[in-house]
Amino acid sequence: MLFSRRTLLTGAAAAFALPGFASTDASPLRTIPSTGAKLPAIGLGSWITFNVGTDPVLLESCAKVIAAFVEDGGGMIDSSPMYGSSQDTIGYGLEKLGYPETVFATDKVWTSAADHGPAQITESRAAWGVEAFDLLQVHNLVSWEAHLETLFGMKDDGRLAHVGLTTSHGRRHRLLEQVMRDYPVDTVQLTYNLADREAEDRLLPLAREKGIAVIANRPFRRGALPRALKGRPLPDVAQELGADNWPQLLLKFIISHPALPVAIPATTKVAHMRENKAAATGPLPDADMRRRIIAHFRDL
Amino acid sequence: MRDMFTYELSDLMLFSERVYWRLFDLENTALWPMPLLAPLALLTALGLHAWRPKAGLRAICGLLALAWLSVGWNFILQRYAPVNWMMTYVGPAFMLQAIAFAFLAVRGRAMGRNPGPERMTGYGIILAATLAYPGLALWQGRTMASAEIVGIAPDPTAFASLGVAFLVSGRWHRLAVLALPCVWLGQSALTLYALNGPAAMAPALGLGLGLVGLILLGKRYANPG
Repeated sequence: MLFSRRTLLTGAAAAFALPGFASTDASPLRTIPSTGAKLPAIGLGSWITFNVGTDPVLLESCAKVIAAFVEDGGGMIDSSPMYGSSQDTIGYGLEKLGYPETVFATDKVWTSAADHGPAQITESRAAWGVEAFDLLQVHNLVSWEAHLETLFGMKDDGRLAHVGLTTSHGRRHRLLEQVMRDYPVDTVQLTYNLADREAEDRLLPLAREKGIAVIANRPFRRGALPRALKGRPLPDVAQELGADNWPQLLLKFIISHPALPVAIPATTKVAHMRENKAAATGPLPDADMRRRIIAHFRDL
Repeated sequence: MRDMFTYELSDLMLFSERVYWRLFDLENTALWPMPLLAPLALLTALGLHAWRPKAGLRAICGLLALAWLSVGWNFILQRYAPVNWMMTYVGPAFMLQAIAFAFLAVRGRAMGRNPGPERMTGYGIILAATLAYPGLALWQGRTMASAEIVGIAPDPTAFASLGVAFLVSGRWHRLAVLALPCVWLGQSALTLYALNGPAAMAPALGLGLGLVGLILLGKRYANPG
């Protein structure tokens, strides 16, 4: 099983060679600067979409999305103990696939009781059915000092590959910036999309400077952006980029930022998942194109 | 363009509307034929109340005690909590409400025949919870398979409980059957507003009725006689 192999690895460089990505995914791979780990630019979020409880019909539906995601190259699947039954759903889907090597298992620790962190991580591993995570993050910076100590300890022991922090909805950016400056985290996850670009001012430049990979959550603002933009004209640049629709253009915009290797859209539909994955293929907007996309969006 | 987005209550939702309604579908299937028997039992108890109020009220309270116990355990803790971790903390409150109804069922002292208008209001609320509430599924474009049924689903059970407040007498007895159902219906209205605006109307109406009951209760006992 993949995850037992990873658990045994202690050298970061060796641990993140991950040849599976290169051999199965046609899209360009992104690199986590601190370790050299490579993974596809489009991951898979699980907030709301995979929280289906014990519903056998919906579990099967989610498993199909996970299977299609793996078939299209895999990459980061992100969850949290806060997301209801999403971890169990992912575990269900991965078990059916025999725990494919191309999944970059990403979860969070989310408890205000600092000493409960290790037990919660154990529960999360059990829910996923994996022996180790590729990335664990402090969710919304809750009890971040204690949890970072736990996660860095796990990393030092070779039980964890990457340590990260998360925030969303543009909250707690000042604290996030401070922790990014003071601690050697590998990743930060924050909300970044065409409508939420506050991170461009300080956090994304800081991430580049410090070699921290940024993961974009809420790329579609939980579907609100594509809904609001439906029927609105795409900018001229979309044709040059081969983007047929707003969701693809929104994702191309996000993953074209040099500090931002991965976006994690969530979906319950296989077709949408494939459409999201396709956004990483073909050309991405350069700086001038990004400016034109922003200007067009502002004018709508 | 940026201004068209504002912070929404839906940002706090951890599950989708589809998942929420599927819970009732699964619960009705799992407990069949209880979705048929539970409303029938409550209607029978209501009929008994019209004939012999004291025995009828004992029966209604006894049935609602079982209903809160069953909904708390089967629906809230087993079905709903996996998608909404906050329900883990709500389940015990349903058990407490079950105890309150069980207490009312065995305590006859405060079970006199209330004045006609109050009694009729109580009957109306219980009948609406039992007969009309399941039909909301059709109004909302769902099938009856996912209907919310008294004794199986929390909202109609809380709604029916409000009706009992108009059948019992005694300040604390009324408070005991109004407080928690009002809180539940309030949170349910917020949840459904976030998931699907129009669906929030039913629990919001229930909350309104409950608050009216509380106000009337306050006035009556503030100005006895």
